[in-house]
Amino acid sequence: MSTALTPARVEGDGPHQRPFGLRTARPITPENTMSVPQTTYCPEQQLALTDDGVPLVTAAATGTTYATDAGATRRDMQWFDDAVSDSDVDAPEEEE
Amino acid sequence: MTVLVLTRQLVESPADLVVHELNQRGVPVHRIDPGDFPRQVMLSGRIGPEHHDWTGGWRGQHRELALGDVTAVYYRRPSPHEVDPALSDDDARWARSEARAAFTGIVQSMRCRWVNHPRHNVIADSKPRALATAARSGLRIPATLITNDPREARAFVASLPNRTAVYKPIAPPGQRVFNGEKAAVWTSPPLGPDDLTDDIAFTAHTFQQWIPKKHEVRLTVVGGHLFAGEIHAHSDESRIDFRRDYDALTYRVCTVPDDIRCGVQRLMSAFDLRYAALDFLVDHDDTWHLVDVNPNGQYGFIPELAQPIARAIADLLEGRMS
Repeated sequence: MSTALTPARVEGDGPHQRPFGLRTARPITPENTMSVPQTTYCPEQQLALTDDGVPLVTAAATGTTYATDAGATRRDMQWFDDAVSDSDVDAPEEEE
Repeated sequence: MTVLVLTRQLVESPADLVVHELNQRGVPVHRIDPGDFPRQVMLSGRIGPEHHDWTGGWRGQHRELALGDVTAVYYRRPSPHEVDPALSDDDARWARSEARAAFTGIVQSMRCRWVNHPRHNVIADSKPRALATAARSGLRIPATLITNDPREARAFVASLPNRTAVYKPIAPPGQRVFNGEKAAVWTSPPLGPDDLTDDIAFTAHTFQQWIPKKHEVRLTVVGGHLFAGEIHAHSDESRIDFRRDYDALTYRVCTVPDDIRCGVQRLMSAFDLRYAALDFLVDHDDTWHLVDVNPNGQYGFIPELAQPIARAIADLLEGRMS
Protein backbone atom coordinates (compact mmCIF):
# COMPACT_ATOMS: atom_id res chain seq x y z
CA MET A 1 0.00 0.00 0.00
CA SER A 2 1.40 3.36 -0.95
CA THR A 3 2.12 6.11 1.53
CA ALA A 4 0.00 9.22 1.74
CA LEU A 5 -0.18 10.96 -1.58
CA THR A 6 -0.91 14.51 -2.44
CA PRO A 7 -1.59 16.11 -5.78
CA ALA A 8 1.79 17.79 -5.44
CA ARG A 9 3.51 14.42 -5.24
CA VAL A 10 1.72 13.24 -8.34
CA GLU A 11 2.89 16.32 -10.16
CA GLY A 12 6.39 15.57 -8.84
CA ASP A 13 9.60 17.50 -8.99
CA GLY A 14 10.22 17.02 -12.69
CA PRO A 15 9.85 19.51 -15.50
CA HIS A 16 7.07 21.99 -14.88
CA GLN A 17 5.71 21.68 -18.38
CA ARG A 18 3.30 18.78 -18.63
CA PRO A 19 0.31 17.95 -20.82
CA PHE A 20 -2.75 19.82 -19.64
CA GLY A 21 -4.67 16.62 -18.94
CA LEU A 22 -2.09 15.41 -16.43
CA ARG A 23 -2.75 18.50 -14.34
CA THR A 24 -6.06 16.84 -13.49
CA ALA A 25 -4.46 13.58 -12.26
CA ARG A 26 -5.57 12.58 -8.80
CA PRO A 27 -3.59 10.31 -6.50
CA ILE A 28 -5.02 6.93 -5.59
CA THR A 29 -4.96 7.41 -1.86
CA PRO A 30 -4.77 4.61 0.70
CA GLU A 31 -8.27 5.56 1.78
CA ASN A 32 -9.74 4.58 -1.55
CA THR A 33 -7.44 1.69 -2.34
CA MET A 34 -8.81 -1.65 -1.18
CA SER A 35 -6.77 -4.74 -0.40
CA VAL A 36 -7.80 -8.11 -1.71
CA PRO A 37 -8.86 -10.44 1.11
CA GLN A 38 -6.98 -13.63 1.88
CA THR A 39 -8.28 -16.39 -0.37
CA THR A 40 -7.26 -19.77 -1.66
CA TYR A 41 -8.02 -21.11 -5.10
CA CYS A 42 -10.28 -24.16 -5.28
CA PRO A 43 -9.37 -26.21 -8.38
CA GLU A 44 -12.69 -28.07 -8.33
CA GLN A 45 -14.92 -25.01 -8.17
CA GLN A 46 -12.35 -22.85 -10.01
CA LEU A 47 -13.14 -20.06 -7.61
CA ALA A 48 -11.43 -18.20 -4.82
CA LEU A 49 -12.56 -19.36 -1.40
CA THR A 50 -12.40 -17.46 1.84
CA ASP A 51 -10.72 -18.90 4.93
CA ASP A 52 -14.11 -20.39 5.81
CA GLY A 53 -14.30 -22.28 2.50
CA VAL A 54 -17.03 -20.04 1.09
CA PRO A 55 -16.77 -18.89 -2.54
CA LEU A 56 -15.75 -15.27 -2.34
CA VAL A 57 -18.59 -14.27 -4.66
CA THR A 58 -21.14 -15.33 -2.09
CA ALA A 59 -19.24 -14.28 1.01
CA ALA A 60 -20.99 -11.55 2.97
CA ALA A 61 -18.06 -9.17 2.78
CA THR A 62 -17.94 -8.92 -0.99
CA GLY A 63 -19.55 -6.50 -3.34
CA THR A 64 -21.65 -9.16 -4.95
CA THR A 65 -24.17 -9.82 -2.26
CA TYR A 66 -27.55 -8.19 -2.44
CA ALA A 67 -27.01 -5.62 0.27
CA THR A 68 -26.07 -2.15 -0.98
CA ASP A 69 -22.85 -1.16 0.64
CA ALA A 70 -20.59 1.63 -0.47
CA GLY A 71 -17.43 -0.20 0.49
CA ALA A 72 -18.52 -3.15 -1.59
CA THR A 73 -18.95 -0.90 -4.57
CA ARG A 74 -15.51 0.45 -4.12
CA ARG A 75 -14.06 -3.05 -3.90
CA ASP A 76 -15.80 -4.18 -7.02
CA MET A 77 -14.69 -1.19 -9.01
CA GLN A 78 -11.15 -0.86 -7.75
CA TRP A 79 -9.66 -4.23 -7.05
CA PHE A 80 -8.66 -4.54 -10.64
CA ASP A 81 -9.11 -1.09 -12.05
CA ASP A 82 -5.45 -1.14 -12.92
CA ALA A 83 -3.13 -1.27 -15.85
CA VAL A 84 -4.15 -4.71 -17.05
CA SER A 85 -5.82 -4.60 -20.41
CA ASP A 86 -9.55 -4.60 -20.14
CA SER A 87 -10.16 -5.49 -23.67
CA ASP A 88 -7.38 -6.84 -25.60
CA VAL A 89 -5.00 -9.58 -26.37
CA ASP A 90 -4.24 -7.79 -29.61
CA ALA A 91 -2.88 -4.63 -28.04
CA PRO A 92 0.85 -4.04 -27.97
CA GLU A 93 2.54 -5.74 -25.04
CA GLU A 94 3.48 -2.39 -23.55
CA GLU A 95 -0.19 -1.55 -23.15
CA GLU A 96 -0.85 -4.45 -20.77
CA MET B 1 -19.46 -28.85 -24.15
CA THR B 2 -17.07 -26.74 -22.12
CA VAL B 3 -17.15 -23.03 -21.33
CA LEU B 4 -13.65 -21.62 -21.36
CA VAL B 5 -13.15 -18.69 -19.00
CA LEU B 6 -10.06 -16.65 -19.76
CA THR B 7 -9.40 -14.56 -16.68
CA ARG B 8 -7.22 -14.22 -13.64
CA GLN B 9 -7.21 -17.15 -11.29
CA LEU B 10 -7.97 -15.41 -8.02
CA VAL B 11 -10.69 -12.91 -7.31
CA GLU B 12 -12.02 -11.41 -10.49
CA SER B 13 -15.50 -10.76 -9.28
CA PRO B 14 -17.43 -10.59 -12.59
CA ALA B 15 -15.77 -13.79 -13.79
CA ASP B 16 -16.19 -15.41 -10.38
CA LEU B 17 -19.92 -14.75 -10.47
CA VAL B 18 -20.23 -16.33 -13.91
CA VAL B 19 -18.13 -19.37 -12.95
CA HIS B 20 -20.23 -19.80 -9.81
CA GLU B 21 -23.44 -19.61 -11.83
CA LEU B 22 -22.17 -22.15 -14.40
CA ASN B 23 -21.03 -24.45 -11.58
CA GLN B 24 -24.50 -24.33 -10.07
CA ARG B 25 -26.00 -25.29 -13.43
CA GLY B 26 -23.58 -28.19 -13.82
CA VAL B 27 -22.06 -26.70 -16.98
CA PRO B 28 -18.45 -27.83 -17.51
CA VAL B 29 -16.15 -24.85 -17.01
CA HIS B 30 -12.45 -24.56 -17.65
CA ARG B 31 -10.88 -21.48 -16.12
CA ILE B 32 -7.44 -20.45 -17.23
CA ASP B 33 -5.36 -17.33 -16.96
CA PRO B 34 -3.38 -16.76 -20.15
CA GLY B 35 -0.80 -15.18 -17.87
CA ASP B 36 0.06 -18.71 -16.68
CA PHE B 37 1.34 -19.58 -20.16
CA PRO B 38 4.15 -20.50 -20.69
CA ARG B 39 5.39 -20.78 -17.11
CA GLN B 40 2.65 -22.97 -15.63
CA VAL B 41 0.66 -24.21 -18.60
CA MET B 42 1.78 -26.47 -21.44
CA LEU B 43 0.09 -25.63 -24.73
CA SER B 44 0.23 -27.77 -27.86
CA GLY B 45 -1.75 -27.11 -31.04
CA ARG B 46 -1.68 -28.99 -34.34
CA ILE B 47 -3.12 -28.17 -37.71
CA GLY B 48 -2.56 -29.69 -41.15
CA PRO B 49 -4.15 -30.59 -44.44
CA GLU B 50 -6.60 -32.97 -42.77
CA HIS B 51 -7.83 -30.39 -40.22
CA HIS B 52 -9.50 -27.03 -40.61
CA ASP B 53 -9.21 -26.16 -36.93
CA TRP B 54 -6.44 -26.31 -34.39
CA THR B 55 -6.46 -29.51 -32.38
CA GLY B 56 -4.65 -30.19 -29.14
CA GLY B 57 -5.05 -28.35 -25.91
CA TRP B 58 -3.32 -27.38 -22.75
CA ARG B 59 -2.25 -29.03 -19.58
CA GLY B 60 -2.24 -26.98 -16.43
CA GLN B 61 -1.53 -27.48 -12.79
CA HIS B 62 -5.06 -28.60 -12.03
CA ARG B 63 -6.69 -29.85 -15.24
CA GLU B 64 -6.41 -30.38 -18.96
CA LEU B 65 -8.53 -29.12 -21.82
CA ALA B 66 -8.94 -30.25 -25.41
CA LEU B 67 -9.50 -27.33 -27.77
CA GLY B 68 -12.24 -29.21 -29.59
CA ASP B 69 -14.39 -29.38 -26.45
CA VAL B 70 -14.74 -25.60 -26.16
CA THR B 71 -18.16 -24.29 -27.16
CA ALA B 72 -17.96 -20.80 -25.64
CA VAL B 73 -15.36 -18.40 -24.27
CA TYR B 74 -15.82 -15.75 -21.58
CA TYR B 75 -13.00 -13.23 -21.86
CA ARG B 76 -12.55 -11.19 -18.75
CA ARG B 77 -9.37 -9.29 -17.95
CA PRO B 78 -6.70 -11.98 -18.12
CA SER B 79 -3.15 -11.29 -16.95
CA PRO B 80 -0.23 -10.63 -19.27
CA HIS B 81 1.90 -13.67 -20.14
CA GLU B 82 4.62 -14.44 -17.61
CA VAL B 83 7.92 -15.97 -18.61
CA ASP B 84 10.76 -17.50 -16.66
CA PRO B 85 12.54 -14.84 -14.59
CA ALA B 86 15.85 -16.47 -15.46
CA LEU B 87 15.61 -14.91 -18.93
CA SER B 88 17.32 -11.62 -19.69
CA ASP B 89 15.05 -8.62 -20.30
CA ASP B 90 15.51 -8.81 -24.05
CA ASP B 91 14.97 -12.56 -24.16
CA ALA B 92 11.95 -12.27 -21.87
CA ARG B 93 10.39 -9.66 -24.15
CA TRP B 94 10.83 -11.97 -27.13
CA ALA B 95 9.54 -14.99 -25.21
CA ARG B 96 6.46 -13.05 -24.07
CA SER B 97 5.79 -11.89 -27.58
CA GLU B 98 6.02 -15.45 -28.93
CA ALA B 99 3.84 -16.83 -26.14
CA ARG B 100 1.26 -14.17 -26.71
CA ALA B 101 1.18 -14.63 -30.46
CA ALA B 102 0.80 -18.40 -30.09
CA PHE B 103 -1.81 -18.39 -27.35
CA THR B 104 -3.98 -15.66 -28.78
CA GLY B 105 -3.63 -16.93 -32.32
CA ILE B 106 -4.75 -20.46 -31.47
CA VAL B 107 -7.46 -19.47 -29.01
CA GLN B 108 -8.91 -16.73 -31.17
CA SER B 109 -9.17 -19.03 -34.16
CA MET B 110 -11.60 -21.28 -32.28
CA ARG B 111 -15.04 -21.26 -33.87
CA CYS B 112 -17.27 -20.78 -30.87
CA ARG B 113 -19.34 -18.22 -29.02
CA TRP B 114 -17.32 -15.38 -27.45
CA VAL B 115 -18.37 -12.94 -24.76
CA ASN B 116 -16.78 -10.79 -26.10
CA HIS B 117 -14.24 -11.57 -28.73
CA PRO B 118 -11.20 -9.46 -27.74
CA ARG B 119 -10.93 -8.09 -31.25
CA HIS B 120 -14.42 -6.64 -30.95
CA ASN B 121 -13.56 -5.21 -27.54
CA VAL B 122 -10.56 -3.44 -29.01
CA ILE B 123 -12.64 -1.75 -31.66
CA ALA B 124 -15.36 -0.67 -29.24
CA ASP B 125 -12.85 0.47 -26.65
CA SER B 126 -11.71 3.36 -28.84
CA LYS B 127 -13.51 6.39 -27.44
CA PRO B 128 -13.51 8.41 -30.67
CA ARG B 129 -14.86 5.39 -32.56
CA ALA B 130 -17.43 4.66 -29.85
CA LEU B 131 -18.78 8.22 -29.92
CA ALA B 132 -19.09 8.17 -33.71
CA THR B 133 -20.79 4.78 -33.71
CA ALA B 134 -23.15 5.81 -30.92
CA ALA B 135 -24.19 8.94 -32.80
CA ARG B 136 -24.78 6.90 -35.97
CA SER B 137 -26.83 4.47 -33.89
CA GLY B 138 -29.23 7.23 -32.92
CA LEU B 139 -27.92 7.83 -29.40
CA ARG B 140 -27.41 11.37 -28.17
CA ILE B 141 -23.81 12.24 -27.28
CA PRO B 142 -22.39 15.45 -25.77
CA ALA B 143 -20.60 17.93 -28.03
CA THR B 144 -16.99 16.75 -28.04
CA LEU B 145 -13.68 18.16 -29.27
CA ILE B 146 -10.40 16.26 -29.59
CA THR B 147 -7.49 18.57 -30.27
CA ASN B 148 -3.97 19.61 -29.38
CA ASP B 149 -4.71 23.20 -30.45
CA PRO B 150 -5.23 25.43 -27.37
CA ARG B 151 -7.00 28.14 -29.38
CA GLU B 152 -9.41 25.61 -30.84
CA ALA B 153 -10.08 24.24 -27.37
CA ARG B 154 -10.85 27.68 -25.91
CA ALA B 155 -13.12 28.53 -28.83
CA PHE B 156 -14.98 25.23 -28.44
CA VAL B 157 -15.61 25.71 -24.73
CA ALA B 158 -16.65 29.33 -25.29
CA SER B 159 -19.23 28.17 -27.83
CA LEU B 160 -20.97 25.75 -25.44
CA PRO B 161 -24.30 26.70 -23.81
CA ASN B 162 -22.79 27.22 -20.33
CA ARG B 163 -19.27 27.97 -21.65
CA THR B 164 -18.29 24.92 -19.63
CA ALA B 165 -16.68 21.61 -20.56
CA VAL B 166 -14.91 18.73 -18.88
CA TYR B 167 -11.57 17.23 -19.83
CA LYS B 168 -11.32 13.44 -20.02
CA PRO B 169 -8.54 11.14 -21.19
CA ILE B 170 -8.95 9.29 -24.46
CA ALA B 171 -7.05 6.08 -23.82
CA PRO B 172 -8.03 3.46 -21.23
CA PRO B 173 -7.36 2.62 -18.46
CA GLY B 174 -7.99 5.42 -15.98
CA GLN B 175 -5.06 4.70 -13.70
CA ARG B 176 -1.45 5.42 -14.51
CA VAL B 177 1.80 5.72 -12.63
CA PHE B 178 3.26 9.21 -12.41
CA ASN B 179 6.57 9.77 -10.67
CA GLY B 180 6.32 6.27 -9.27
CA GLU B 181 2.90 6.77 -7.69
CA LYS B 182 -0.48 5.49 -8.83
CA ALA B 183 -2.84 8.17 -9.96
CA ALA B 184 -5.98 8.37 -12.00
CA VAL B 185 -6.94 10.80 -14.71
CA TRP B 186 -10.72 10.87 -14.63
CA THR B 187 -13.24 13.40 -15.77
CA SER B 188 -12.12 16.85 -14.66
CA PRO B 189 -14.20 19.39 -12.81
CA PRO B 190 -16.04 21.80 -15.13
CA LEU B 191 -13.66 24.07 -17.04
CA GLY B 192 -14.20 27.45 -18.66
CA PRO B 193 -12.23 28.82 -21.64
CA ASP B 194 -9.86 30.72 -19.35
CA ASP B 195 -8.91 27.52 -17.51
CA LEU B 196 -7.32 26.04 -20.62
CA THR B 197 -3.56 26.47 -20.95
CA ASP B 198 -1.17 26.14 -23.86
CA ASP B 199 -0.05 22.80 -22.36
CA ILE B 200 -2.87 21.31 -24.43
CA ALA B 201 -0.39 21.39 -27.32
CA PHE B 202 1.68 18.59 -25.75
CA THR B 203 -0.75 15.87 -26.87
CA ALA B 204 -4.33 15.09 -27.87
CA HIS B 205 -6.95 16.28 -25.38
CA THR B 206 -10.67 15.56 -25.25
CA PHE B 207 -13.10 18.23 -24.12
CA GLN B 208 -16.75 17.43 -23.74
CA GLN B 209 -19.76 19.62 -23.07
CA TRP B 210 -20.62 19.76 -19.37
CA ILE B 211 -24.11 18.28 -18.95
CA PRO B 212 -25.87 19.26 -15.72
CA LYS B 213 -27.32 15.91 -14.70
CA LYS B 214 -29.98 14.49 -12.46
CA HIS B 215 -28.10 11.25 -12.22
CA GLU B 216 -26.08 8.77 -14.27
CA VAL B 217 -27.19 5.40 -15.58
CA ARG B 218 -24.99 2.33 -15.93
CA LEU B 219 -26.69 0.27 -18.60
CA THR B 220 -25.35 -3.27 -18.88
CA VAL B 221 -26.25 -5.11 -22.04
CA VAL B 222 -26.11 -8.91 -22.25
CA GLY B 223 -27.32 -10.27 -25.58
CA GLY B 224 -30.76 -8.75 -26.04
CA HIS B 225 -31.24 -8.05 -22.34
CA LEU B 226 -30.73 -4.63 -20.79
CA PHE B 227 -30.02 -4.06 -17.09
CA ALA B 228 -30.13 -0.41 -16.06
CA GLY B 229 -29.27 1.18 -12.74
CA GLU B 230 -29.40 4.83 -11.81
CA ILE B 231 -26.30 6.10 -10.02
CA HIS B 232 -27.09 8.97 -7.70
CA ALA B 233 -24.15 11.07 -6.54
CA HIS B 234 -24.33 12.77 -3.16
CA SER B 235 -21.02 14.65 -3.04
CA ASP B 236 -19.41 17.31 -5.19
CA GLU B 237 -16.63 14.93 -6.19
CA SER B 238 -18.92 12.11 -7.25
CA ARG B 239 -21.12 14.52 -9.22
CA ILE B 240 -18.12 15.22 -11.46
CA ASP B 241 -17.19 11.56 -11.91
CA PHE B 242 -18.74 8.84 -9.80
CA ARG B 243 -15.39 7.02 -9.60
CA ARG B 244 -14.04 9.88 -7.50
CA ASP B 245 -16.15 9.07 -4.42
CA TYR B 246 -17.81 5.67 -4.24
CA ASP B 247 -18.94 6.19 -0.68
CA ALA B 248 -21.27 8.98 -1.83
CA LEU B 249 -23.22 6.85 -4.31
CA THR B 250 -26.58 5.17 -4.13
CA TYR B 251 -28.28 3.07 -6.81
CA ARG B 252 -31.73 2.33 -8.11
CA VAL B 253 -32.78 -0.12 -10.78
CA CYS B 254 -34.58 1.70 -13.60
CA THR B 255 -36.23 1.14 -16.96
CA VAL B 256 -34.80 2.08 -20.35
CA PRO B 257 -36.69 4.38 -22.75
CA ASP B 258 -37.60 2.73 -26.04
CA ASP B 259 -35.47 5.08 -28.18
CA ILE B 260 -32.42 4.35 -26.04
CA ARG B 261 -33.14 0.64 -26.22
CA CYS B 262 -33.25 0.77 -30.04
CA GLY B 263 -30.08 2.87 -30.26
CA VAL B 264 -28.21 0.55 -27.91
CA GLN B 265 -29.20 -2.50 -29.94
CA ARG B 266 -27.86 -0.80 -33.09
CA LEU B 267 -24.65 0.09 -31.26
CA MET B 268 -24.14 -3.47 -30.03
CA SER B 269 -24.75 -4.79 -33.50
CA ALA B 270 -22.35 -2.29 -35.09
CA PHE B 271 -19.57 -3.38 -32.73
CA ASP B 272 -20.55 -7.06 -32.81
CA LEU B 273 -20.66 -7.13 -29.00
CA ARG B 274 -22.63 -9.56 -26.85
CA TYR B 275 -21.78 -7.67 -23.65
CA ALA B 276 -21.18 -4.01 -22.84
CA ALA B 277 -21.55 -1.59 -19.96
CA LEU B 278 -22.68 1.84 -21.15
CA ASP B 279 -22.63 5.06 -19.15
CA PHE B 280 -25.28 7.72 -19.66
CA LEU B 281 -25.84 11.13 -18.11
CA VAL B 282 -29.53 11.87 -17.60
CA ASP B 283 -30.21 15.61 -17.61
CA HIS B 284 -33.05 17.50 -15.94
CA ASP B 285 -35.24 17.04 -19.05
CA ASP B 286 -34.76 13.26 -18.76
CA THR B 287 -32.65 13.18 -21.91
CA TRP B 288 -30.07 10.40 -21.91
CA HIS B 289 -26.55 11.36 -23.13
CA LEU B 290 -24.16 8.51 -23.83
CA VAL B 291 -20.69 9.30 -22.50
CA ASP B 292 -18.88 5.99 -22.32
CA VAL B 293 -18.87 2.54 -23.93
CA ASN B 294 -17.12 -0.14 -21.83
CA PRO B 295 -17.04 -3.38 -23.80
CA ASN B 296 -15.71 -5.23 -20.77
CA GLY B 297 -16.95 -3.04 -17.94
CA GLN B 298 -17.62 -4.10 -14.37
CA TYR B 299 -21.16 -5.15 -13.62
CA GLY B 300 -21.20 -6.17 -9.97
CA PHE B 301 -21.39 -2.79 -8.35
CA ILE B 302 -25.17 -2.38 -8.47
CA PRO B 303 -26.04 -5.13 -6.04
CA GLU B 304 -29.56 -5.81 -7.25
CA LEU B 305 -28.28 -6.37 -10.79
CA ALA B 306 -25.14 -8.43 -10.20
CA GLN B 307 -26.82 -11.82 -10.02
CA PRO B 308 -29.29 -11.28 -12.91
CA ILE B 309 -26.43 -10.10 -15.13
CA ALA B 310 -24.28 -13.09 -14.19
CA ARG B 311 -27.21 -15.37 -15.01
CA ALA B 312 -27.69 -13.68 -18.39
CA ILE B 313 -23.99 -14.06 -19.23
CA ALA B 314 -24.21 -17.73 -18.27
CA ASP B 315 -27.25 -18.05 -20.56
CA LEU B 316 -25.23 -16.60 -23.40
CA LEU B 317 -22.30 -18.91 -22.78
CA GLU B 318 -24.53 -21.93 -22.43
CA GLY B 319 -26.27 -21.10 -25.70
CA ARG B 320 -29.67 -20.44 -24.11
CA MET B 321 -29.61 -16.88 -25.46
CA SER B 322 -28.29 -15.55 -28.77
